[in-house]
Amino acid sequence: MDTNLTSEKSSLYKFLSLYIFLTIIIFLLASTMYYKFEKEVMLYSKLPKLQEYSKDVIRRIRAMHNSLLEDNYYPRYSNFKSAIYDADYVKIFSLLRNEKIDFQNYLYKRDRYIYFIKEPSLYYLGAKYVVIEVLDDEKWLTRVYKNILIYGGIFIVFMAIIGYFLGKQFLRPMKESFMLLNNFIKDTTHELNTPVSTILTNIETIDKESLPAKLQKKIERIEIAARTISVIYKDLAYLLLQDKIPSTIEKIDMNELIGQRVDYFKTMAEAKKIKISFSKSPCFLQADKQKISRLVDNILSNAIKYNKIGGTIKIKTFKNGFYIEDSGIGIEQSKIDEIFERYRRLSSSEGGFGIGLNIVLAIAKEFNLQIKVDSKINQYTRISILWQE
Amino acid sequence: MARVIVILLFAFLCNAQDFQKECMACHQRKGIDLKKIYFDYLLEYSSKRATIKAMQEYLLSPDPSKQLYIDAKPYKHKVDKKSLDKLLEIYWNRYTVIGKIR
Ligand code: HEC
Repeated sequence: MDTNLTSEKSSLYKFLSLYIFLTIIIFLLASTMYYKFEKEVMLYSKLPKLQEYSKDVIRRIRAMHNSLLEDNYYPRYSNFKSAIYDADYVKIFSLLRNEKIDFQNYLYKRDRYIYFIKEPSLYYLGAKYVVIEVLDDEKWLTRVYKNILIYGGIFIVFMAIIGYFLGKQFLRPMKESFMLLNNFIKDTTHELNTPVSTILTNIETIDKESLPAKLQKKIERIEIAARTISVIYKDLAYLLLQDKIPSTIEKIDMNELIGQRVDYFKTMAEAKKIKISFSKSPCFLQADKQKISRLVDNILSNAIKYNKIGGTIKIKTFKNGFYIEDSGIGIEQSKIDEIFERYRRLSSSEGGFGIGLNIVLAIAKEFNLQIKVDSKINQYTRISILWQE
Repeated sequence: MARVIVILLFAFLCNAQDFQKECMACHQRKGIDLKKIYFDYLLEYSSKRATIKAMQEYLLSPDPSKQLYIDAKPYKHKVDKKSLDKLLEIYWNRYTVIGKIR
């Protein structure tokens, strides 16, 4: 039944991936904006210092200019480097480490250096641009990274929590309807049991021999219908409660058990004029009796359901197993594995829940029983249940 | 190789001599310092292209409002545009600060 939720799950995953994608986008956007903002703040905080440096340089080149370059010693400072460029961006003199200057920007950072471009009012030595270069200690950058890490982390956690609740909200209606359905089935199956057993016990007390043939037929049909419902009920109950009922292991006389079950289905078989032959040898199994009768019931009812009118059912027990063989439609070799899948019916034309063989498989698994299927299309299907000594 | 250098040197000296003859001689006579004028133009026009263009414009048709050397009356230089091009190039190279700053 968990398969019911797969489509909802895939849409939940789609929703979650979109959500994560958006979260990442927001995170990246906010981080870059914050980074840029902090960079601007850092640059502007350096501005007064840079202005001062540029004034020092200009004062110096003015003196050089006024001496008509008799004094030609360019100023050098320990805390910054500088250069002068003319109006056509031709280098006049430079001490810079990086001479690729962006003249469109008067204040910017490239690599590890901050650049400031000052235009003197008069072009001493022809210098229209005085470029100042200082090394950035990048302390602000580590702070920015640290903040992005901390606040980004908080943001991501926050978004994850919101995403978790949104996802839950997303799944809740599905979960609720699923639970509702499950409970409904549980309740109905339970309510079903009492009337069906009442019908069956009452039918059993009727002395059919004394009734006219026509009425006998009708009673038989009612009995078959009631037994079918009863089997379906037991199957459903098994499916819904299997994990809640612990198995009680006992030594089962399989001849006795199969005999009882054959009796139970006798009316159904007779209605289809199916002859059942049962050849017994001593056969015992250590298992839960309730569950093993579910297993036998399911194999038997399938053998009746998929048999032809006037067909046969051969049952044989032996030391470590038994088989039930019908003379029905058979199964294609390639489909034998598929038939144990839940809800799959042997042929789409037949009715039924199709959960029967799945139950057989589950019970066989629990008690380590081996299932063997031999079949020839339109001739027979033989289901063998085998176990180790 | 040596010949090429000799020819180039000769051409350079010729040019230098041209400038000496065509411009410096008169200016020295009149005590109008061309080096000072060069730096004044630099201060005003910055780049080589703008400086030479401004000088040329002034020298060919003096405009009092653009005169930089104000200690004398505007003087219409008697020189044709083609030779002025060459002479201003020599003038520029002679006083340029590029390569002279330490
Ligand atoms: C006959 C003399 C004479 C010669 C030759 C001469 N100049 Fe001059 N030059 C002057 C005088 C006089 C002035 C000052 C008047 C003025 O500024 O217009 C002057 C001024 C200038 C100025 C300053 C212009 C300004 O804006 O005030 C420049 C530049 C100049 N000369 C360049 C040259 C060059 C280049 C040559 C060579 C082609 C040259 N001169 C040849 C006489 C001369």
